[in-house]
Amino acid sequence: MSDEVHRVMESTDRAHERVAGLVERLTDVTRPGAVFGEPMTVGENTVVTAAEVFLAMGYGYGMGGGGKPREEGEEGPRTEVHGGEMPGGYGGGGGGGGSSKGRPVAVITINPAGVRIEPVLDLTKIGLAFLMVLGSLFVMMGKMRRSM
Amino acid sequence: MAERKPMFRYVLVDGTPVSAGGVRATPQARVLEVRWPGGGLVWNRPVAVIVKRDGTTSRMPIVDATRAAQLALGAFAALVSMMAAARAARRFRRGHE
Repeated sequence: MSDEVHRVMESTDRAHERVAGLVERLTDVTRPGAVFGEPMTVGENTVVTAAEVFLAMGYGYGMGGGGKPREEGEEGPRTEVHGGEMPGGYGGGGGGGGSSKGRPVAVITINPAGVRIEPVLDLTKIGLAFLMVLGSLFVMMGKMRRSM
Repeated sequence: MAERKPMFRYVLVDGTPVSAGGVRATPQARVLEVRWPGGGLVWNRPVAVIVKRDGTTSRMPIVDATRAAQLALGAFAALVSMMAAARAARRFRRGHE
């Protein structure tokens, strides 16, 4: 194999190792420390925040190549690439994507009197869900009324 | 050799215990981990706090109020849709009798 092929393969392998290392680090998100914040003490109260964490990612890569078309008179099968005018070559490529989100869920307060868990309400999300439900119900009712 | 990670994991993990005035609270999280060749996803959410006090242990669930409200709205919409569909079907049958 030529040096060019080696270079392409090495470069693809390096990229693959780098991304595989990133995927391995998904384990960091599975630790409880990703969900529960550092305890903060104010007077007798110790406060810990709790959040939901979601992370997804994926990647793919590939490489390929073709031989140089044989010259007239050379032995062996002739490789017809674009009518024999295209020189041989190798190439590779890859891509990936991902998404992550975090959302506060509750605040935990610990003091000598006991433990108190206060939920965190995301009013924007609830408002959007309410508007979506209201809108879809209006559309459905309107369609049913028209069809009668 | 590198440690082989499982492709699917759904486990309860304990956080660092926090003590304050004779109360010891251990937060718990539920982890869903799915891995496939070339990617993976992790969903980590708090589920409860284990409280140890005066020799007794109790479990306090962490309620995700935002998700509960969203699910309640979704269930309400589904219920109203089903009721409206049933009513429309009844009217349709009555009209063709």
